[in-house]
Amino acid sequence: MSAIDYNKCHITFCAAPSKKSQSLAASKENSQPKAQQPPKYKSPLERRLESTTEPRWVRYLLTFLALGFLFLFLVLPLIFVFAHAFNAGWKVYWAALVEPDTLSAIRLTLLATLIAVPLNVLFGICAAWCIAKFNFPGKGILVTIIDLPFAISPVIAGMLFVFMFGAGTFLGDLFNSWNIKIIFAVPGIVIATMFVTMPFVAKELIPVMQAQGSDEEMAARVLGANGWQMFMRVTLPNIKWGLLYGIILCNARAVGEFGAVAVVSGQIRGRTTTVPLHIEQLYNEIDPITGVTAAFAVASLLTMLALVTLVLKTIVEMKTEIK
Amino acid sequence: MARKRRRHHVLPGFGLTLGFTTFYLSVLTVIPLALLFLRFSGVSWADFKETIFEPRVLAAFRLTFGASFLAALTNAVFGFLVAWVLVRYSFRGKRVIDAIVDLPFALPTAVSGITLTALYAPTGWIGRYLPFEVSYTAIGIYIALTFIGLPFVVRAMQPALEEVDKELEEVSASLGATRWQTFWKVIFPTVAPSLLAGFTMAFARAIGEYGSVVFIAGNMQGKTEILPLIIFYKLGEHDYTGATTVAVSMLVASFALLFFINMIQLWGSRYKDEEN
Amino acid sequence: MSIEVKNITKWFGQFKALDNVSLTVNSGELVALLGPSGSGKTTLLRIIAGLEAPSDDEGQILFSGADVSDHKVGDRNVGFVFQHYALFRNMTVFDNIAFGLNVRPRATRPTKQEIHDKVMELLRLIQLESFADRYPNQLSGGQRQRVALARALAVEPQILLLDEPFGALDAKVRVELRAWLRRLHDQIHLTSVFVTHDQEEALELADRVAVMSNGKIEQFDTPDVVFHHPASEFVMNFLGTVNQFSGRVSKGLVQIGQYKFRIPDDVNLSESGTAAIFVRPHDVAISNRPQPDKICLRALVKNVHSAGAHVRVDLVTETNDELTAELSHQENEQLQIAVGQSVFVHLRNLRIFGQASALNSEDSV
Repeated sequence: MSAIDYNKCHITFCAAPSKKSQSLAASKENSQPKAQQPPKYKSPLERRLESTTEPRWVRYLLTFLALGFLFLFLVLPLIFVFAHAFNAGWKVYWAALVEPDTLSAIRLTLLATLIAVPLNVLFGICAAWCIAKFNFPGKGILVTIIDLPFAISPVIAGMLFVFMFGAGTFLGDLFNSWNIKIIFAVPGIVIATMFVTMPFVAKELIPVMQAQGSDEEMAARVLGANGWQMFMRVTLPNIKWGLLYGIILCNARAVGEFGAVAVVSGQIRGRTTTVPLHIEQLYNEIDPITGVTAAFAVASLLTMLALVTLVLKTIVEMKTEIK
Repeated sequence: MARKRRRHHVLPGFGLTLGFTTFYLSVLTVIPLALLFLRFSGVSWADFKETIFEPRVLAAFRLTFGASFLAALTNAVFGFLVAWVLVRYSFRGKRVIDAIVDLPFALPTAVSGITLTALYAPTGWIGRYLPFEVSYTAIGIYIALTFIGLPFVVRAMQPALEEVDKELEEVSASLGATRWQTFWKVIFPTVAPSLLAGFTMAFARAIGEYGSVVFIAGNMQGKTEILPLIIFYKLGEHDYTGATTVAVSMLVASFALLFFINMIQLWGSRYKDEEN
Repeated sequence: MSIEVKNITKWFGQFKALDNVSLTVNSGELVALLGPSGSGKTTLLRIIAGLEAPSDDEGQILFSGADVSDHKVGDRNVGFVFQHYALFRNMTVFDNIAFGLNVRPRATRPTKQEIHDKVMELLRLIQLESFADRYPNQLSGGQRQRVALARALAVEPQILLLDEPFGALDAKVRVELRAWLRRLHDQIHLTSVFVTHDQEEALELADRVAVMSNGKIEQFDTPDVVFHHPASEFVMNFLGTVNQFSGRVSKGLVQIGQYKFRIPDDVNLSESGTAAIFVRPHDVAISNRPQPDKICLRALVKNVHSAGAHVRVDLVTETNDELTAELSHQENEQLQIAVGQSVFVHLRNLRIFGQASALNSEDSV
């Protein structure tokens, strides 16, 4: 009883598509099967038709010119530092490094860096926090002031502190009466270093924090986190790469600063000489051969540090690109 | 209705961070700068004129701005080229080359200074092949300033070149333009503001540069002395008035350049979509 | 000028964007390449333009019978319009349109006056005469797209290629511009190919539609044929909503529940197993009592949506298949369909797809 005579049924199956599309389908079927493997290289025609690049010879020429320029201006000096540092042999190299004045310069540079970098990190985080997460009048001026040390010649930077803390100034005399010397002493070097490296961390963090927005922090607050917990668990993980990037740049500049420190240091050997200043002193020594070689030996230390900086910087850049 | 409400922030730490930021900036930047300008306000017109128009200072002005301009110009050309090659072409070791572009930022200026000096000395690796003297001449200063300014142009150009819309180049090609025409009429105008910004940054940096220049310059009086060196000398001679005068003149020039960069960036975004 | 695309295969790394595609566009025709994203339609358009080349030597592009496969995009005399307009931001509307004329070598470049006249004529055509001195950022999306079109037309191309020409516009402007483009095409009769993922746009605008999927052309025919006689399951699914339910296949019969239908002889189905059966919502007829001489399935009304041009009724059949019917408001009033009501459905134009070669059955059972 359930069987229905299907010959009588009025249900219609689809009428066929027109012959034209059939012939297309048929021709597709009939043509010989294609290789299913992707080609390894672009075909000559694919290269020829590229409309957004230059002919091969132009590309090669431009690449050659650019790499030639970089080799001449950047790579060759790099090689030269090491070649010159070792040109009197390992013994002379080592002697230049373990010389007491060199060691004391290294100690002073480390000290200045270890004070300036953490302080600037703290400042950078504070500045980025209030600038990126809040609106207040005068924000633009604040951002401009943070940028200022980049626009000021290092010599002028050093001069600023000579005028602030030097002999005959109010502050200079005040500190002097407490028996604290700032200019031509270690505190001056530290302050000058702080000044020239001040913007690095803040400059990296402000855009990162702005891009991040405040949603996650607000959520943390709503969920009952206190300010410290919010910062350590939400903010810091989000900004860690930007922070690291800023620290790397800040550190490189702190170690290498020359002009500002030269003005405030007084360059007393073994007392107020940082590594870059020590290099200058060695370079200008009476005996040009041993002096210059020793200068390059110490310079090779800073060059290695610069290379480490570049490597770290690249690693951080790759990390943030992946994200 | 009109009752004034105390601004309440959901996020904590506004007062604390702003307070610390303001304090830090005041002690480290604002007060020292204010002291400098205060000192400058005490400089008489006669003293100012005497300092600026001293032949030695005038020569330093000319040399500093001239060499810095030429160096920035060189960097505009080669920095553009390097950025173009790094963005557009692929080759082995690109990552390394890209990293090395920042070497002038990472290398202490004293190291760059002695290295370039020795490299371009008459017996140096490069100097021995050159028919003219580089070390202890204005050319040496130009070389050092080119070295330290290169990353500014490259790093300003890379994002700009990456942002160039491929479709614009394709449209240009489909309308029959040659590659050269596409470059000058389509690509170059879109990246020109970034090039100008990079150029200006390299220029501003070069004007104030000290460490990498003093070694190669030779510092011959009235010939190869740069402005920062003049300040250095004047400080050494306790000529604070002279130092202040030169420093303020330089600062004003630098700030004018910074202002110029901001204007360029505004001008560069004039064709941008308002919606975006 | 006609376009012949022959045996084009295109790889992007490991991804096969086009798989041995062939297509012929007649002179003066407006053809749509329709498909979901990743179907290869834009790649095909770009290969026709010369912005890309096929990955092997078998592929050929012919314009009016002449092989242009190794001509660069600038030498093919095609106008190409991008989805996001790609207007030159630093040039005025006038300079944008004049660009293609201005970059010609001096020998073939028109005079300043000729260029001016040509640009003004095009500005009239796109109805933006007073906008010559504006910059692109001062125009609306629709205006920008028309400028992009005028710029492409300025070089008097023999073929016009448009990549998602309305994709970046909002719905209302899109419909207006669509009608305008159709009128323009009827006016200038330029052989045109456009890419779209919007079936309504393709069906309304094009003379013929090539439906693409996975780098292949599934069907290439007039809008009428592709809509009413889809050549494959993909085309059926892609063009409009469709009901799908499964039936059992055995010995030339397909069975839905207790009802059996004969499969056309040349639909090439495996001997037995399940098969997908399709019916469009407007081919589902609802009645309150069984119809004599027609197979009617019993069904339960689950939901009635009457806000819209048609009334949509969601049903569950006695075979436990979910089914959507579309009927007019008038029919709905006559039937008084209510949720929970038991009704009878009659299915018209059932479709079943076997292998591609076996679709040309005219049989109805």
